[in-house]
Amino acid sequence: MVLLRSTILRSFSADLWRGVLVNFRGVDPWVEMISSPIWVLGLVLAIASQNPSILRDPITVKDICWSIVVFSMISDKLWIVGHMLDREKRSGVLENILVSNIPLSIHTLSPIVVSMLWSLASLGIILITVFPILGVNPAPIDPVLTAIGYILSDIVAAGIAMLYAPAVIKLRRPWIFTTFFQFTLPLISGIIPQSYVPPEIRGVIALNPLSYPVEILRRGATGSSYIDVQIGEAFMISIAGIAILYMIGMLFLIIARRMIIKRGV
Amino acid sequence: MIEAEVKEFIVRDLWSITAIIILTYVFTGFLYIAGSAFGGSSGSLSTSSNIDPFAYRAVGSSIVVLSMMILSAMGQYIYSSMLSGRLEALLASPISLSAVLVVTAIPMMIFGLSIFMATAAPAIYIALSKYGVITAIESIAIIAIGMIPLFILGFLLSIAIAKLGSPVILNLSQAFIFTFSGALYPLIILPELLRLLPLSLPTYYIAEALRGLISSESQLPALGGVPRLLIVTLAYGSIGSILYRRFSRSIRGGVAA
Repeated sequence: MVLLRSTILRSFSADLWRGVLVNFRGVDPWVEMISSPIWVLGLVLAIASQNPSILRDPITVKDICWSIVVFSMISDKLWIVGHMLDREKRSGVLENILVSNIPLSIHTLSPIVVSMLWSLASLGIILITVFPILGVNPAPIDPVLTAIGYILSDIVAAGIAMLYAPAVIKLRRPWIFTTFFQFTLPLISGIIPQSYVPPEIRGVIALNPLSYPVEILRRGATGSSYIDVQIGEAFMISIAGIAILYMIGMLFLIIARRMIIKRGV
Repeated sequence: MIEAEVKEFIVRDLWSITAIIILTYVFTGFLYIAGSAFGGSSGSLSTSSNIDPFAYRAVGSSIVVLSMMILSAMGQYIYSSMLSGRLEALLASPISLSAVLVVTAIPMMIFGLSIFMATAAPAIYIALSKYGVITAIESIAIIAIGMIPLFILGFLLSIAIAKLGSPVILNLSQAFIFTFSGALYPLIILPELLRLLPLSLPTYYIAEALRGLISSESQLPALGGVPRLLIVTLAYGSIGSILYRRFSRSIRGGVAA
């Protein structure tokens, strides 16, 4: 048992370091990180342009900024975690990883951690650039609640991307689906006020496990409430959502591994 | 050669073209839904402008998507040719590099125009119903002219990527074009200092000329934005030709030089 635990820990540690070194080596990731606040600024302004007078209301601008932070977090997870197996398939190393006997679920933890570090670094840059440019105080109303909401949102978003990863290797043009989800998933994850969306979509938002940690994050960051739920309740649903998502995700990865070994990549 | 490039570019990947059209609408829808949720559906974009807010966004999104596609395709052209060894083969062939670039640009222009017509359909429909076929043709002509400086911009980016030996600045350039295109939102909402950035990009002039054409209050379409677009096209053409001469001299001295 102890031997198995140390083997899993060693595999995870090796895989994590590989992920960090591959993704954060050289100038490229830093240039990419500089571009993320530019994308965020563009999205916030494009959304605000529907009614430019809201740019004079720092509370609404702060709400939009945090919504786009969530959008950016979901994008990172879909592209980094969701496309992980596909990248390895295309670079021809997926077979080697499968032969090495590391469970795909352990192997997936590395891009999850890397994508979380990536999103966190982007958030830091966004907080010190985009928020002041738009005249918004980046300080959250309740830092503890914001941190809890942020961590839970990040874990749930990574779980959703983990569910998506086995599907990506089967798709011929996965970028089409990822781009589609990149713009639709945030809309049903509580980044816009629930009162605005039609009743049918409200049902989808209520069923989406990502809506609840995003609600905790927003209440902590801006004080705004978009979903009618108690904080304690939102926390419990988030934890339950994480447990269910990761169990299904791991099951999908086990099935995907068996199918790949049986039928080939 | 044009036929070969058309086959390479358009026929090979009709699914991707269809996907780009659908995804542009998804992106426009995202901006429209999020914008209406935060700013209200009766926001000033709907009330003060003569153009339907969805059509306004469709024009902006189409221009931005088109620009990003051109930047991505042209930006990586020299670098990917270097990696695949195609660049040396082209330099050794009796065809001049400028002819190759123009021939590559033609199918991309056809591709870009088709994408624009499909993605900006709500705005083109308004132009058709308001002023008739002539205005729709004029808007297509504006896009065709506007694509020239975009190709030059893509070519300049391509030189930079080839010199750096990494396509890392591509994402940065696309982020810059996306945010400071001046096509997605009115310039007035940008902080004053940042307003200079869209003024240096062709996308702003394309959007201005197109929106002027379809949102004119008079019975005749307004062509006020066209002269400025032509001046920008000429300016980009001059800068592009100077840098192209320098680059073609240096590239013949060795690809990595």
